[in-house]
Amino acid sequence: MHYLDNSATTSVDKEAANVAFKIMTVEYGNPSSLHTMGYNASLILDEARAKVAKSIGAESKEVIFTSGGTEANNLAVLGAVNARKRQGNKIVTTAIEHPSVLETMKKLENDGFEVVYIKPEKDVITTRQLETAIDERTILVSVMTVNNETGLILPTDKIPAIIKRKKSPALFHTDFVQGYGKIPCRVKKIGCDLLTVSAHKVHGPKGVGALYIKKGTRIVPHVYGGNQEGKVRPGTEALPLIGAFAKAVENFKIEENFARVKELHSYCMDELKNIQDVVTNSTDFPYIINISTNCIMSQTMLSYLADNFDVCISSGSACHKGELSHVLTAYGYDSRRINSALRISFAGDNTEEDIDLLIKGIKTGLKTLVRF
Amino acid sequence: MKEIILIKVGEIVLKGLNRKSFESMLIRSIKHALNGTSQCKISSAQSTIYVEPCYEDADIDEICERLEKVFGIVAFHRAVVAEKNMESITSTALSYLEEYLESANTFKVEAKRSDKSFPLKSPEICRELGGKILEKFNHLTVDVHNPEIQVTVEVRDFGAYIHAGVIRGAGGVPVGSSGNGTILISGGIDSPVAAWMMAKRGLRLNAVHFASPPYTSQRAEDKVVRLLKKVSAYAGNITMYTVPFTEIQEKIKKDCPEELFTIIMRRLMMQISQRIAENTDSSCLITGESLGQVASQTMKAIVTTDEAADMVVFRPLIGMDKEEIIRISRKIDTFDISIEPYEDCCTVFTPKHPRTKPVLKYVKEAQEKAGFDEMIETALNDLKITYINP
Repeated sequence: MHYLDNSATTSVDKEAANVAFKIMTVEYGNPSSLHTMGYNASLILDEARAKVAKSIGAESKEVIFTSGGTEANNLAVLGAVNARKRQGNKIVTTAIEHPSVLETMKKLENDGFEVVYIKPEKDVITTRQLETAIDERTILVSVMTVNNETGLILPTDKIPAIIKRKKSPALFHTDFVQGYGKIPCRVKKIGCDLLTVSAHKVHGPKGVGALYIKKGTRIVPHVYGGNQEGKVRPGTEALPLIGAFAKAVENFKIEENFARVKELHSYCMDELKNIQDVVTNSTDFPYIINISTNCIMSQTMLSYLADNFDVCISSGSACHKGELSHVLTAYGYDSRRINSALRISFAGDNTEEDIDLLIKGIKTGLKTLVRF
Repeated sequence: MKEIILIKVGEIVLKGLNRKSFESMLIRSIKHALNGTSQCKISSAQSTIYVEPCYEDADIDEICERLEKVFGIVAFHRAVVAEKNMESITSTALSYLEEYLESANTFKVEAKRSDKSFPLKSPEICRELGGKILEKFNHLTVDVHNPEIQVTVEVRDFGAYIHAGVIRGAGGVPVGSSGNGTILISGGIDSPVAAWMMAKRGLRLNAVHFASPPYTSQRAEDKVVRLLKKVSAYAGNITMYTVPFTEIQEKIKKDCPEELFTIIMRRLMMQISQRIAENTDSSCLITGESLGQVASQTMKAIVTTDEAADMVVFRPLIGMDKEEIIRISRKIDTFDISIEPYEDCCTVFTPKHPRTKPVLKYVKEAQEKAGFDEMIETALNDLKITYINP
């Protein structure tokens, strides 16, 4: 199988999987128990937290584990808004966020908050747009670092200064899921108050993620229970997943993989450019390529590539019949382009052969499949 | 305490001399529906079908749930069996209905005495049992017009049955009593509902599905299997024939005028389905068309499509609004599957401006000019068969 859908999920690092296995079968204590087994488990938890914290340039106590990116995004957005709702009524975000942010925003809109969704202009979101949107009534700015469909990189590093200048009480949250493990992450440099990461996009297991909460920042939990995770996210810690997550993080090879993927990206782009029908929807981020054929439905091309060439990619869209990708729609593309969008996403272990097959598949598909 | 189920059959009792065969078909349906749950004895007497669990610990809730999906059952009662004397009837009723009676304010007792050898007459049974109930549950009062609970005692040949409530059945007539029909199913909201409606009127079903990989995915086909599984909870076993349709659809796209794509495709679907129906002992085709719903379902379009088949085509949804169709699809639990977003054969290559008033003559000409006969034979030789059970 030639797996080029690494923005959907990745293979799990074997060492990480072994860590999970060992914690499940040997070190299976509850970190909150007072006996030896519990104590050992709590050591594993502390160590894992330290590793994940280090990977984003944070302190251990600033990291809490969640069930994944969706929960971390929900907790960040709802928790921040509930903590600041007396200081204003406005939230600033973009129209191309992940559904776990956008749907939460919709709920807040129903609750009476004013939400500003910034749309890309000429395929980018600019600092100027953010400046116009953020004001002294804004209580939360939630802007992703890398878009999951197009790989667009957003100007998040400019946001803290804007918030300061506008004398806004806003907390700043960024969904870093697609950038994590691929580009360096330094929370202090980004200047965010809240930051989301997920394990399964970085060769960790599914079902675990983390939220960075800057020291001194208060957010209101929406789950109540025991004292775990600073009471912000109670519940017995999913230690096998957390341990495996930390192992995957420990094995990050950010520079090495970035260089490798950059090669693959330019190799792939060179080939794609030679295909007449293909238009590129984004080239910002080497890990993600988004293209449209303008003539074959996304679902058709995906099945064709999988069945005939063992190549796995995804459609740019959320795969809704008749309902177009919200990201590409926000870009203002026409329906032909959106309906035929394809997303190719790399990992460090992809090879030129994977790309050769993909290109061959797309070329043959364009020749043999009947166009819409 | 031994519980049994008394099934009241509806219009079957009106079937005159054919009644016996309808009844045995219904019993077969019931047996099939109860397959895999607790073992039951099923018998019929005095226009009632008795479902009697063989063991005390039978899961009666599960049995009732399944019976609610059997066509031909108008209503049924979950009842308890007592010996045919007032003492047993009273004590059984008091303990069996305790919970009901505790939570109600008003009640009434009704008695039916079909065994005329029973010493008490119906009003006497009512009086006696009603008195005992009032004695034990002194918060209750009798309301003969609008009681919260109606306690019914049926004194029949083999015992006395006590129940306090009726469960509505699915209605209709037993599956198979009207013969066999072939449903054309794409994966949308309408066709499973159409299938269900015709099964309700006694058709046993075959299904034909058109698959056009890679324009349609494996998931689209799996979706149809899951839809049919839901339908088969009512309709019994269904055999599904998947027609490889890719080449035909490609040819339509290549060789036919764009505005006629859909109409020609539907004509070909009718022709292929008819052939399958003929080979599988089906006497009619069933579609989920609803007049005027989309361009291919205008009056003219349906007439043009219909001409392709010599077989009678049932369109049970023809006069229904989408809202009404959706209501049924929710009831039979197919709606959530139907709205899953996979391309199906009907959404591939939809023309921008389909002809809403096609002229048969031109459509036929276009179809004949392109020439599909050979492809139809190839497709029919390559059918995939899937057996679907509830």
